[in-house]
Amino acid sequence: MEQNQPTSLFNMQADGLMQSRLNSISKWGKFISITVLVIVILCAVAFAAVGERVFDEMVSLMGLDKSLAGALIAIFVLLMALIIAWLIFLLRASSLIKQGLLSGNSELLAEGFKALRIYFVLSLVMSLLSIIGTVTGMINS
Amino acid sequence: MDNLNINQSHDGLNFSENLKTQLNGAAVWGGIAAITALISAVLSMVSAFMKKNDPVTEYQLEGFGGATMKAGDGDSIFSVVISLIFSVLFFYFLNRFSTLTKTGLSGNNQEMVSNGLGNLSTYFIIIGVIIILILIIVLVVMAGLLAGAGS
Repeated sequence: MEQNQPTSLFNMQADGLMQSRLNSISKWGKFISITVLVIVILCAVAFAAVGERVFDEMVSLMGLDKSLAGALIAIFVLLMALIIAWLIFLLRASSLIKQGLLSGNSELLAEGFKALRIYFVLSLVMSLLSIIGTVTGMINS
Repeated sequence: MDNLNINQSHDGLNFSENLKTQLNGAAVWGGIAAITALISAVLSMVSAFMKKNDPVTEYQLEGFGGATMKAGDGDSIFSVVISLIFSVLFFYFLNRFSTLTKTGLSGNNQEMVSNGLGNLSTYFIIIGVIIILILIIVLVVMAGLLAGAGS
């Protein structure tokens, strides 16, 4: 696969130090994604059990219309889906980087960094949503 | 660090053009995400301080004997300051990853790319350690609550 790639004059190679750093990225990325995925799934199960009642309480607590509970649940589910997709891309990136390192296949490493790029794009989306939420809260208060 | 059994030529794993392109893409988006996350953390801190200066909001809890819940007190300021400290740390390492990797790739400087990846590794290690600490705190609190309920 690599033989088809154009080679630059100064061909770059991953030495031992770079490989150990890539291995560390893969190892910690996998730990973070799996741990947080388990926590998010547990929260989703808890939400499925008592979510609607909790949201009804929240809506009445904040003095909002009861019909807003459905909208709040929809936003919560969308956020959960976004977080799960974010973690799956981190897990995919970690696995592909590890596989690329073990097989010495730079195309697998490239796929790993492609997944990492999507992870960063989703991080950006979540930060933007947080900014929008904070600014809206500041304007309303 | 784990010992790796890697299939490669005697002088290292070659970087294909596709790998360089994808790594550069990750570095570019990592840099943008780092800046946005820092802006978000700063805004959250400003918002928390604004709420602190507001009169304390009290919500009436229906069906809970007329108890009240107070919002906008010192606890939220403390948590926002802690999260800002972590956000600055995350920004530093992610931004260093982005800058060093992009510069290293454009100049074919292997050491710079390696240092960039080292910063990304540190970024993930910090997040991992924070998760471990949070899990330990949650477990200790739960054990305390269970011990309290049992006695």
